[in-house]
Amino acid sequence: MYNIDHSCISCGKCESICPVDAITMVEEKGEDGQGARPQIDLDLCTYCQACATFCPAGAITIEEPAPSNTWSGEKMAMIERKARTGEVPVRGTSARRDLPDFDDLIVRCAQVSRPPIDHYREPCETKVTLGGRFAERPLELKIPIYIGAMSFGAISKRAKLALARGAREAGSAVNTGEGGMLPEERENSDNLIVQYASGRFGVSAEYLQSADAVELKIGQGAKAGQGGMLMASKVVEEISKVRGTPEGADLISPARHMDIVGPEDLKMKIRQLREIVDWEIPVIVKFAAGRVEEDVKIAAKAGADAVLVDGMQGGTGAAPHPTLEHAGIPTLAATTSAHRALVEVGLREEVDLIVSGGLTSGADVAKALALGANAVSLSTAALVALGCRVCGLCNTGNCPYGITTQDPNLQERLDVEEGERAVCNLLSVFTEEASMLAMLAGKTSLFNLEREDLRALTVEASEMADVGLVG
Amino acid sequence: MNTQKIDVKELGSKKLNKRLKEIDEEEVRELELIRPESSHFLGAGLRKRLRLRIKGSIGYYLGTCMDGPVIRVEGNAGWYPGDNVTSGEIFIEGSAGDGAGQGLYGGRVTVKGNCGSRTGQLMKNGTVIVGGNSGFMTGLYAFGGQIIVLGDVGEMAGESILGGTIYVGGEVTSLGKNAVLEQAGPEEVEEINEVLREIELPGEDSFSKIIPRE
Repeated sequence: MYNIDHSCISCGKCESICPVDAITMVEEKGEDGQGARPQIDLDLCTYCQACATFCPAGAITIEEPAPSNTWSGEKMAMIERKARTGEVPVRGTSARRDLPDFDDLIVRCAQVSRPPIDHYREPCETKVTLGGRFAERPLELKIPIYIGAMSFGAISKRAKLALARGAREAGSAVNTGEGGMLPEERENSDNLIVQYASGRFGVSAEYLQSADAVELKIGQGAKAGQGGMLMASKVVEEISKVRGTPEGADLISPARHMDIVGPEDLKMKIRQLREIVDWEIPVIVKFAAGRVEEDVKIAAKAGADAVLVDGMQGGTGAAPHPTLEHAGIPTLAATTSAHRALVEVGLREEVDLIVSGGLTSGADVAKALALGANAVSLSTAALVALGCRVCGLCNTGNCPYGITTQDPNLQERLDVEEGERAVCNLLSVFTEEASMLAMLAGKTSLFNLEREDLRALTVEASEMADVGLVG
Repeated sequence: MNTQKIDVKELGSKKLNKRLKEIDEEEVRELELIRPESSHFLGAGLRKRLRLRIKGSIGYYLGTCMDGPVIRVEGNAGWYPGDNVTSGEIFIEGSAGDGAGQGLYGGRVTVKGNCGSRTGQLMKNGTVIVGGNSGFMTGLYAFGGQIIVLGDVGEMAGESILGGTIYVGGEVTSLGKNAVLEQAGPEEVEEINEVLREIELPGEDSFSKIIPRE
């Protein structure tokens, strides 16, 4: 398919440049005057785009009817970008490729073999206690969904406040992310998880002791096996103060904790955190899903109260394209692997499992719980509730919705009260959706969902999730 | 003001750390910790202005995340003494393992003897002083603060340094990525020697300094 628009100047360059002689200049009498116009023989055309590229008037557009999968337009554009800039492309949000996910599973409804529970009349248990293995004061949430780690720096103060208040309203929790704790975040949260990551930004005894749980971040699904960097342009005065770092400096988080390079180190680190917080609050160990079974077993044996596995659909403020698209394990597969690992080390009852990474509905929550999760954590969905359109501009600091920016003018576009309401609604609706599915499967508690309540729609999902195939 | 004596071996670090956090600073300001038996995590998260004198060698993560205490170790220390300290002071009369003063935000960590590798890695501010030599990658990923090494520093000093300064009285084996070597000016040398006099360590006539590349 091709088009010659009105700007054609009849110069005939396309005819002369075509390497397969597919173009002929033909006299035409149109509304816009008379002149020779190119006609393209599509049987001869190889869609090399030379005519369009070298047309001095930019008058030609030509599209291949069945583009190559290997050399798709998207891939070609990416190659051109790399060639032009000399840099690995970086963007925010998460993997965009088609990956297996919870949509590949369905929930089996109860009928006579077991009766369904009436969602509109009967109750469903949603309260969860997390991290009670060693912590004197485990995390008690009204719902098994909480807001994941997003640092002040990666997102704006207004976004932080809306998330904290929305989570509190819904009886949930929120996570500081790596960038230290905003005082207002603590004031506006009933359950605040503080993150302890490789850069140790904003970490102090006060930070850890004022929390309701500590998340020891080993890795993150969106940038599996990599650290991160908050660009200097985003490190404004308030962020540098909260992080305890110089203003306007690039803040690099190493790919690994400098003092954790093996299982024994992890055990020491967990114990260290416990000593700092006097064994009061849970220590959650967060991994990017990669070598899931090995990592989960190590964390469980090392003394974690809970393990969080972040699948490759998880989001980020900035990550290189190859990492986003080609590293990590999809959340669906990671959930089953993590559950299996805890069973195999005999610590399934002791260690709670939290999963995250690209959860988009209450149905995803229900299926994750059925596969063994005790709770889930979500971040991008919460940002979408605030207005995010998942455009991936987060790394530039120019978020037009005031979410992943430190520009005061852009931040004004985000209304904290509206955001709070949206986040609370989202958490509540996801919980209700999950409960609805649990009840139609005959369960009076979200936590009674089990693998047998699911069936897979594809052979691949069946294998990955260890769930029977439909039919 | 009373001085209390605590038997570390008898109590164990978990109970000891709890007890330290419960001490009334108005009643007790000094503690003598006997039989430390290289215990780990001593003083973890302690936010009181207590003076601790440890009668022997200590294990990993001494004073991690502490904010205010003054700790003196009459022996050696394991890895990561003074990890992530907010304020206060640690003085180790012997030598220490890797990562002394890692992630320091403030205060001062002094090791009179030698240190292992990666001294002052990830530190944001404060001061780390090494009376002897410091191993490889001293100041790895440092964001700020100062490290003063009176002896030599090992290979790849200042690897990926992003801020702060490493002063070296002896030899620099080699520099890491992003690090440059310069000579410290007379005012800087005088300031360093003033700090060293304060803690009764010998000064130097000159220091070289490692800083991030512009």
